[in-house]
Amino acid sequence: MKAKFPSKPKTHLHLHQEEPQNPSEFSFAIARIAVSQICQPMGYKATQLSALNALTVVATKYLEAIAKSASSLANTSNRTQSNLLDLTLALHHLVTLHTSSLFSISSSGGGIIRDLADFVSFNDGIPFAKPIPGPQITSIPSWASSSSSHVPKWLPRFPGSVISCSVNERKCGERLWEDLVLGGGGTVWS
Amino acid sequence: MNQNQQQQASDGRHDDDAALSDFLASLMDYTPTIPDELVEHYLAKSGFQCPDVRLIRLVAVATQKFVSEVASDALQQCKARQAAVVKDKRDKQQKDKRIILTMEDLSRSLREYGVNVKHQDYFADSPSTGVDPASRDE
Repeated sequence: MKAKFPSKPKTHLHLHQEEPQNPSEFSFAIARIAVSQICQPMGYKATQLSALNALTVVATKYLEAIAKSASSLANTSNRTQSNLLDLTLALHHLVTLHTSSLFSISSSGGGIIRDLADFVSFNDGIPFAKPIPGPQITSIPSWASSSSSHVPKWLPRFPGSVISCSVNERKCGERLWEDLVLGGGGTVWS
Repeated sequence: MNQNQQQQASDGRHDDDAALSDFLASLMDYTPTIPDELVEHYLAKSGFQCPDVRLIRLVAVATQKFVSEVASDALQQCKARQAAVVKDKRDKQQKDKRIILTMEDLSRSLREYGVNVKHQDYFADSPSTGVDPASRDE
């Protein structure tokens, strides 16, 4: 099965596939579009879908590999946030793994950054084809207004109405503990 | 002598720092093809925390460079194969001009990067598929 690359940046890929069902499929679909945009200026007229999917998987794994090694390097230095040095060392590990020539990489690791700087100055930026819808963040009600003292105030509330509607009362008049807490407002312990 | 050498080394480091900060500033003008939100999603998935946008752009540029290198290697494989094919028909010439990213070229170029992507050549129903029926025991 072959897919044609878009001729202009703003056209859509006519892929006969279903809509992404979950967040990981969504991010994979976006990554696939980005990878196809990177490949298009090289002169490819079309691609096999399986090849495009494989290249996208490799690209995402590469991203994750950089992130993992950079974060582990930061953690070994007693830091939670990575900085440029961690990133450079992580790139250094990856690049020495996949290229056999070591002469281009200096001991200080500056060679990689120089390669990237050359890449940036040589190529024009290709902006992404479509706008990505951001995550819809609705206002999350917190526990701050509730009187339950055992729950920290910064936690979001239970979706209380949903739980109480779906719970059936049992034979002996037992109710779910959460309902008692939500309904009673902390008077269970008294 | 020692002081001169140390001064030269520190001057070299100054130049490197200046070049580095210039590069990081130029990253903000360059738009990597992989959007920032996507990169942030995958970085967060792997535990990478950084408030600096320039580092995220750096990762995006590094990934873009990797993908373009792999794709260009695959392109060279494709072109090398087309150059080896004897052009005897005109139709074949016309068709061969379309360069298509195939699994075969991709797996060959990825092998040099240490990634093993093998594609099945064919699938068979049973071990005796394709065997001459006269030699099969029925």
